[in-house]
Amino acid sequence: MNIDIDDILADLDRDTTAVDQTLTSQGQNDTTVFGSDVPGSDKAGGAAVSPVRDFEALMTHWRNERLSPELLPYPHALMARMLRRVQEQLEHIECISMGYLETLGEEDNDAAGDSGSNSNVLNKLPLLCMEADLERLKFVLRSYVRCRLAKVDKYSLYLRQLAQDNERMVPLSGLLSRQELEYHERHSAILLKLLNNTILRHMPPELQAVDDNEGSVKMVEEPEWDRFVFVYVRGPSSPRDPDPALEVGPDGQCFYNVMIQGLREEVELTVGGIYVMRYNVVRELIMEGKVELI
Amino acid sequence: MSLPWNIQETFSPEEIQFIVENEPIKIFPRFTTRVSLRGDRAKPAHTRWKLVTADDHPLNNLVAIQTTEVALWMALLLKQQGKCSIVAPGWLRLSQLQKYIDYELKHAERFSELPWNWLVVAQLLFSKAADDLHDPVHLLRGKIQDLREIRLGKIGQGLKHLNESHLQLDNLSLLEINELRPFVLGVMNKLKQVHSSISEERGSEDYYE
Repeated sequence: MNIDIDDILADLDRDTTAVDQTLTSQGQNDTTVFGSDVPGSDKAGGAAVSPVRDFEALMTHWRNERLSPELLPYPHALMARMLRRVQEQLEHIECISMGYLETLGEEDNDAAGDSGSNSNVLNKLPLLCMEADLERLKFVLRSYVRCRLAKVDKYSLYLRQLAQDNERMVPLSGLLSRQELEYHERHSAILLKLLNNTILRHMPPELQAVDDNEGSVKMVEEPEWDRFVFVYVRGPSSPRDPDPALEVGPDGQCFYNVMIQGLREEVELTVGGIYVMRYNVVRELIMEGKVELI
Repeated sequence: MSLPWNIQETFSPEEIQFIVENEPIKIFPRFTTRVSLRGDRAKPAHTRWKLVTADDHPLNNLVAIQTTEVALWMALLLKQQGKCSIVAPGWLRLSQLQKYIDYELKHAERFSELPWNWLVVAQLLFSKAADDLHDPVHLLRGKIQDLREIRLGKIGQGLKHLNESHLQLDNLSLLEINELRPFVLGVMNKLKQVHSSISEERGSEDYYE
């Protein structure tokens, strides 16, 4: 009951408190950068997932994205949930920090001689931890988004080519978030305009293309599919569902059989092992979450 | 650039520490947050915990001197505030570390099964919770350093096995992988290029014959 009233008060006071303004504006900044789209769009799935699981999934996405040569698909639902949670937590912390002042006043009034400083610390401690906790989440989100933006820049021409290619299974809007897509389109338009105005205009027409893949050297930079990466073989996500790709060796060890195309060589990836592998060899397994990049 | 070039395709040591700090560790809290059932006041005397990256249930049910598992970063934060003591993990004691060292010395070809985050955890606990460890910290530090040097030596030996196909490196910790990464990947990528150019050449020779 009390908490409800606090919430309402905090809502009313939001615009008048200086501290709150910085917090809210910060929140808005974050959302514009991360692009939280349609809060509450994932309400249906929201009930079944726990914040802890989501955070673990986000950590895996972050680590895979940082280490993989290509741009991985954007986890739309997960990111929407995470951004909504950041917003909610920001508001929750604001409410507590205001309600907390109130509690202090009560304690002083009560002044039952009970160790006032002790309860003071006990009141501050959760707040301290919750702020640290929120900062940690924001760090991962920021780092993840920045890493993706770096890749969008790097593969700008390649992504344009993908967009034109109609036979692809995943549309570009599945690979990128709405904001990333907009950024990509505008950035590459500006870049092409610059190239055109400064150099290409002055070249003979047959040398003006920037995406000519016919010659001996391809002009569109593709992700380096066969680059080596460190992988950890995690195995199927839950031990109960049988995984058809998983094989069991004579000594009871589970492994995945993969084929290195260039060398025509078969390798067994034992569950729990760490390997250095070509990215394209394990790409399928990474997409399915059975192998993680480390 | 949106991501600095030096952390593209790898992690910084600080980020490795960040990853490891999410791992659980046991603590002895020195305060209680579990709300007593008497409930004579409408409002609890302290703020409730609500977290977005970790499970907040154990933190709302802390009972003084009863072990609880929380994330490492939380444990270190509480420790810093003098609100808990950390239960050092079982492998972080002299006798256990000596066993690992013996294993490393006996088996030249493989690594002992230390936890994947041993270096970082040891480093953090030495600097922030030295008084909670089972043994004097300077002795433990010595053992950890020994282990690290033995393993580094093995890694150095293993580098001559680098090839263009693949490599298996079980039981290597995250920090060790991270420091190995630029060199190993660089060499293996180059070997792969050399190999593919050789096989192309052979292919074209066959063609001409």
